[in-house]
Amino acid sequence: MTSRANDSAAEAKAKALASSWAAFTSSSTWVEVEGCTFVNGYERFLAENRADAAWIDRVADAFERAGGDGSLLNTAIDRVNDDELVRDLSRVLDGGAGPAEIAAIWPDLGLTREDATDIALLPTSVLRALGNLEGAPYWARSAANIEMLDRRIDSATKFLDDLGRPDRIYDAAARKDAEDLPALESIKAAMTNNDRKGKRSLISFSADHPPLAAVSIGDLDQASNVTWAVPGMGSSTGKMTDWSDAAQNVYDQQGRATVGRHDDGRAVVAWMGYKAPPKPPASGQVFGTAYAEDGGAKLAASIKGLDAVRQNDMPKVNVLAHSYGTTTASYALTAAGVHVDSFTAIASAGIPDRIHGARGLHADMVYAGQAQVVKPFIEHWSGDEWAAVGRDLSSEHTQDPTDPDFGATTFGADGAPGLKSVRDHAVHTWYGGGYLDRNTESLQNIGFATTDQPGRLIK
Amino acid sequence: MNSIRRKLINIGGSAAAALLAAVVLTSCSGGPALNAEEAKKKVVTFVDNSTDALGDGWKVDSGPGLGKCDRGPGLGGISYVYIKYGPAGQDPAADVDTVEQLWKRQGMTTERYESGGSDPVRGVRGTGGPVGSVDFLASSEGYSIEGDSRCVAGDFDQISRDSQE
Repeated sequence: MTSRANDSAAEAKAKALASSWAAFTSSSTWVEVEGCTFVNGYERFLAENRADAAWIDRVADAFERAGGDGSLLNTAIDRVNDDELVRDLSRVLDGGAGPAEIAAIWPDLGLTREDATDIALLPTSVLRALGNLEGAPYWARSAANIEMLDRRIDSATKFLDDLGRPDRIYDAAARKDAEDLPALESIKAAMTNNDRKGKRSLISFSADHPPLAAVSIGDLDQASNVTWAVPGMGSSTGKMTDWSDAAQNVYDQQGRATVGRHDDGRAVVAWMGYKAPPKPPASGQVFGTAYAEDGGAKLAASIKGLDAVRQNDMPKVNVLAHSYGTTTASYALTAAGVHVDSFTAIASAGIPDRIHGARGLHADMVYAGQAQVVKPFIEHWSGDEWAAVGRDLSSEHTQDPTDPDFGATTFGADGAPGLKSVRDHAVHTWYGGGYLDRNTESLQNIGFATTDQPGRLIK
Repeated sequence: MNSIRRKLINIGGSAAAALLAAVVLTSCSGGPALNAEEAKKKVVTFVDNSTDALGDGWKVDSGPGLGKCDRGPGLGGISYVYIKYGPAGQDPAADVDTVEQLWKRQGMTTERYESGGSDPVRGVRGTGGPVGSVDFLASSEGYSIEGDSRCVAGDFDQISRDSQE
């Protein structure tokens, strides 16, 4: 309490100092000042003090909780001793351990889901690393990432609110947060299920510009069926809710495809975990493989992380990819140490030529769906205009996974009695004709493919 | 790269011709405008009435929960998705028929569908009437009905963020 009161008084003085400094420099043009680190440094000092106050609160809470029976075991104190927790986590984070080692070490920390609120109090540097730590349980990663997301939104909002103030203290990190605010807000919006089924977790959240992120619909620590949903060209967290809504459709369809069966839970991950190439004509990168190779390595790391966390109760693992996401996923599914139960490719922008058909992918089952190929612009809204263009204009990823020679199990997307046809390259269209729109033949088939029911596919 | 550029130029030429062909678009929702609460209420009532016609044992699986939709090109909106699961009946085909007749009486346009396989999933999908779409899926293992309300005006992202505050 005293610490906070002193902080408030000091903060007021810091603002007054910053204001006076700004007035002095603006009225004294003869003063050449290249930098003003002491003002910024003072603000950082106050931020550290605020974090310390939060730590002290946490320890005080522990004593308060122990007050009921008049005793507080050393182990209990240890568990809530923030410095101890930070040191333990720092040791885990700094050790350079792989996912399997992290998963093995983690239980020693003694943390459970009930500690999620305490994790949110950790310093930013720890949160940033923990949130993306492969091998750590997803509840802990999500707790860290959600707190980081909220801190960055607060930072961005404060930066924008203070823009017109003469006494504002410039913060480069806050400016970056402000630039990323649309993406941060879209990720935030994707974090609620809005009363749809499936609890949401933010299982990864990067410092990239815009940030990369992955939202799990369903509990990734416990689900018996997991689907990584990989988006295609032009996707980014700037429209995270578009991808998470499409992933929700897949989640719902999987549930309906298995209704009446024993259900240990499922999870669909809206994985915006790589930088996707822009749509042409802004860039021709979609015809190359640089983005896919980089993204493939990231997806492979995510899949291996799941393998490590769930090594004692492995779920069925599926990869569902759209457009350029199929190119990206192909790199992941040829990486050493990666193997999944199924890979479903829709509207493929091309499987890399160095992969020899479905047999070259590390997946027990390979499925592929593609709507009727139509001429770009001329036949708009009557089929898929862009998947074939992506393959045909590339010199490195020209394979169509729906080609019989490729060896995948194919399914229809052009509509069937009672089921709508796909009439666009997108996963969602305003008229309900995207690959992951409800009531489409495509979505129904994806529901069966990702729940191991190939016999029920409509060709 | 030259080859790629030539192909892009050809596509671009086709595009210019296509862009001249104006397309008149109609809204996907139709019918009188509803507000969000009315849309939600209608889909819940419609699905509940449908499951009542099929007997006991139905439970809410999901919703009514918010979904993204479009009222037309570039016109974002919200809808409510409501899903119920129920036990399989003795005769799924007959139950599909029962549901289809019920929906037709309520002004829905219906279409039946069937999955592949020796033990196919049967279903009927309805559009129009008081909701945007509704789908009854009947397999020998269990039944489900998914209703999607009409798409109404609303900012999905803003509502989603506000609900977390």
